Amino acid sequence: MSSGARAFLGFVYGGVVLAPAAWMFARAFDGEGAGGTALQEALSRVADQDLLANSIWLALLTTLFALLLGAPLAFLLNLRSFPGRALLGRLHWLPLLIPPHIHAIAWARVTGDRGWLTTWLRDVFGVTLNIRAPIGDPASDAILGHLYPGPAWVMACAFFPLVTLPVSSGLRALDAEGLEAARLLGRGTAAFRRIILPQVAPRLAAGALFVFVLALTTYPVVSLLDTPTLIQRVFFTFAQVDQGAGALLALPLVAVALVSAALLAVAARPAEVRTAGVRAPAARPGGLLATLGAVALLVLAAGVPLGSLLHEAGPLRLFGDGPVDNYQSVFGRVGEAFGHSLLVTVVAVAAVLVVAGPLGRILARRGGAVEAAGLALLAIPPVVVGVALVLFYGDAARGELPAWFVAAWTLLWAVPSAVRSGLRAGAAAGAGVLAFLLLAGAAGLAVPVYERGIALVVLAQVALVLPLAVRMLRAAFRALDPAEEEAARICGHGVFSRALRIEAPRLGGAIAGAAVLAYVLCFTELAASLMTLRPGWQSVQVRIFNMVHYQSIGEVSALCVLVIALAALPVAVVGLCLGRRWEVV
Amino acid sequence: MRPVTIIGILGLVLTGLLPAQRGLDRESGTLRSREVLGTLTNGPGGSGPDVLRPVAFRERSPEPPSRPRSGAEPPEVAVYVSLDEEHATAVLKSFEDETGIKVRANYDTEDNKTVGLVNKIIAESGRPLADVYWNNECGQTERLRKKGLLDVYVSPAAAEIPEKFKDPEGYWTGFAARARVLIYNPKLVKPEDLPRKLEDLADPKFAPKCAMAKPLTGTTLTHAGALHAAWGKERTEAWLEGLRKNGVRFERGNAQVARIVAEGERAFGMTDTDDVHVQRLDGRAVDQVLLDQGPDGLGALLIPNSVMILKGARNPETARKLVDWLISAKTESTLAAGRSAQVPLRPGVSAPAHVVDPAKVRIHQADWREVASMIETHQVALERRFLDAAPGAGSDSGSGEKGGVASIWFALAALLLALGFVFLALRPRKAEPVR
Repeated sequence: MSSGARAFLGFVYGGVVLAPAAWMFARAFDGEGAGGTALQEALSRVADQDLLANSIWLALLTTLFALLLGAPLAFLLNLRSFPGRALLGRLHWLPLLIPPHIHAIAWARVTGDRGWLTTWLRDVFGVTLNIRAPIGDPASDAILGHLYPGPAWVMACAFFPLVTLPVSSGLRALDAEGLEAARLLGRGTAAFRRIILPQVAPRLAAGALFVFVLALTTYPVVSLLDTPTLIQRVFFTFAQVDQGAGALLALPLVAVALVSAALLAVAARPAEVRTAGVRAPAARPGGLLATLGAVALLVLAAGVPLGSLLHEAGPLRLFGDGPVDNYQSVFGRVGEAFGHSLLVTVVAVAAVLVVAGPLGRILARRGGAVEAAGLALLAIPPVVVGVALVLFYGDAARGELPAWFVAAWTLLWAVPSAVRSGLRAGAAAGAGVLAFLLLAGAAGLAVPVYERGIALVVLAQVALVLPLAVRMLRAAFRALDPAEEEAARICGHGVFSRALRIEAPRLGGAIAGAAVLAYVLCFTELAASLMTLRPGWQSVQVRIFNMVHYQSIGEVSALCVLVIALAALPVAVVGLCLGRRWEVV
Repeated sequence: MRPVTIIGILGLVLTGLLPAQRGLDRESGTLRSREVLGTLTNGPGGSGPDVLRPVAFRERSPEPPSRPRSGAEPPEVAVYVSLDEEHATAVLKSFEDETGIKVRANYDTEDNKTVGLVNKIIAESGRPLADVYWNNECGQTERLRKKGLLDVYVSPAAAEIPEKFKDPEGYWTGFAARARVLIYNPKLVKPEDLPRKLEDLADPKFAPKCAMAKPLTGTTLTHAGALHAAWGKERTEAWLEGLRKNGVRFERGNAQVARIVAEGERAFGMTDTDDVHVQRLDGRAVDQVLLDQGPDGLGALLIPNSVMILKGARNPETARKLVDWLISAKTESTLAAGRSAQVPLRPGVSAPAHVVDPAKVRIHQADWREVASMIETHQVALERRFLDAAPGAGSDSGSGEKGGVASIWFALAALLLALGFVFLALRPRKAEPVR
């Protein structure tokens, strides 16, 4: 890897992405919060209430639900042929387009205190359903008292495509001939158990780990459903008690998520094999049962919440003299927020693509350790990412970034590279980090970033989305034929010419996939925006989060439907234009 | 030129030239390496490297700097707002239209609430992003005053506002208040069967019909502070414990309390007048009563909005204009007629009939400095009591009792088990031959 590439990696990962989080934790240990009563109070409450236990159980339960929803759907869509399979294959993205907080709002209308399902179950069977309550008594049940199936189900509905996607990708990459041979020779489910399952198990594990990490760190759902988890306490402590204490309180959560993210990095390796162009195994006839199964899974996870929102929002009256419908009424109030959110999203997606492209190219050949460090970012909850950015740029703008941190963080990036690849490599990696820290501090870049505009929100979204986008583009770069590029190089084409004429046409699908993923994640992001919005800027997700507390449910539902439609629009457009040539690995 | 060389030069430029320029200015053209090194590590005037001191890339001052904007830029003012966005937007928009001053507003969120916004202001104290803070209560305002984060501004428009709703030293001014009231659902309870005093809410005969917001933020926290000041610690804590035992349902905020009463999940609940009015406007059949109105009653707490200019505001002129606007009779009248139905504090301001008239009811006379002090003293205890309460319940399940150390071990064991499965899944192995 060239020195320039190392410096670039250091600048992006060591600086832009990870330096704020590192500074936040360093600051917490260095500041008054570490020994203060606020921290002691916060920590004692964590111990008292077993919030970490609640978080772990919630994440495990979410993962279980997501596996139950996502894996069968993947198997049905890829191993069985049935009417409507192609359509369902497109629609299985849908739950991912509904942000988790909107899932929570929708499910609360179904299974909340006055939800139609709750009412029906109570009237018919005398069963009381409470989406917010644990199964057992928290005071006496060591396990059941910490299991909250409501929020776990809501998050599973939001995240299960993250299981379906890698498993589908793995199933398409199966050796078609081998599988056919096994099917001809085997009986019953033998081929499935002995051929298919062992080969897709790593992808299943990767999907499960991804869901686990997200469930552990997602804030809006547990906030809306009032689930006593560690991430909820972290947010409360950040916002209302002490930022240093909040950072330290987040450490156990980050540690658990970090272990999972490390395993994810290992588990996701097989998923980097490109499946585009590989002949997928032939699907066997599935018949009506397969159709019903796939439809039922999708209806359960996406149809119910979407239907509930559409029902609550009421009809859209574009013509006629009737009363103004909820859609028009709410859009009149939040039109500006929509504009701001879209602007932030477009800028963030552009930034992600501009940075992820070169990173994917660099890491396609080497740099697994650096990329693993980038994946570690998945372990940092979005709430913490938001606070870290505010603290880092705030302190840098005030000139309070200490020299010891600049030196220590630079060395932390330089030394491992120096040990592995020599002094020159270490110096390059350190120079990248140092350049960023000096740009933020000495050159005064932190001042405009911190004080005005959308830079902080964009940075938060870039930090959250970049690892995923890089993974996608890295896999695509790896699939390129190096001989073609070598030939172009010998013919005298420079880096940019090669990128434009050789790589771009072959990477179109991957770039489109990364762009769509970044768009959806940025547009629907809430937790970091709660922390990073500057005066004068709004976010439509934050508006929903607030309005659900006091606005009529009809208007809130209409707003949620508009958000989902806007999130789905580019996915539909790109899907129609590129067909199967774009994919999320 | 190789990229690393470019980055190296860039680093040198950034680290050397900018601070060196300061050294040159001060020393009349003399540039000394020790001076530059000192500037790098300790700020201008530093004498040598001291890694334990802040880098101070730019000059720092103990007081937040006042940074007025240049006259060429269009006038604007940045404001933090704790009042619900739907209520505040119209007022700020009319200010923009009337004065031509652009308002950049940032609202609290339902999770952060007032305390979150106040903590944000405290965190930004060296470099405030807002010029004005429009708080929907005044307990937390006092916290800012005590920390020295407010500038004195006695607005000419505040002359008619009663003294008890203003800071005696002019750090903040109160206007347009909300009253703490009991919202009730007439379908579930008759007015004559309602509690008459706050203390009745802990009476077993009203169990479990009541709802209330957790006193952790907003007006409910202010109310708790006012009760601590009026009743003392023991009586207030006994009352709060009584509420818990009486099955009072503790919600996240006052809006939720009003909603669940309107939807019939609880018969009545403590909330603010604006939340009641919003439910009425949405067509819900709810009504309100003021508690403690007897001759020896404490009276209903009237909590004014408060507005203040933050120390170090970069737009002091426009900030003063916004303060004048907010505390004007026109704004009080607008807020009274609007969805929030706020109570004008000035005598003689027109208000619709549904707005509480402070002259006709018994008001809890609170000393806001004492209330703020009580909040500061008892906030941790309140958090301990209410933060861990089980959601949507008023029972004892979550009042500090824990499920035992076993729960965390069970959770970790389950996690290890799950990770074990993942490990097995990742174990490299070949597909078995099919027999």
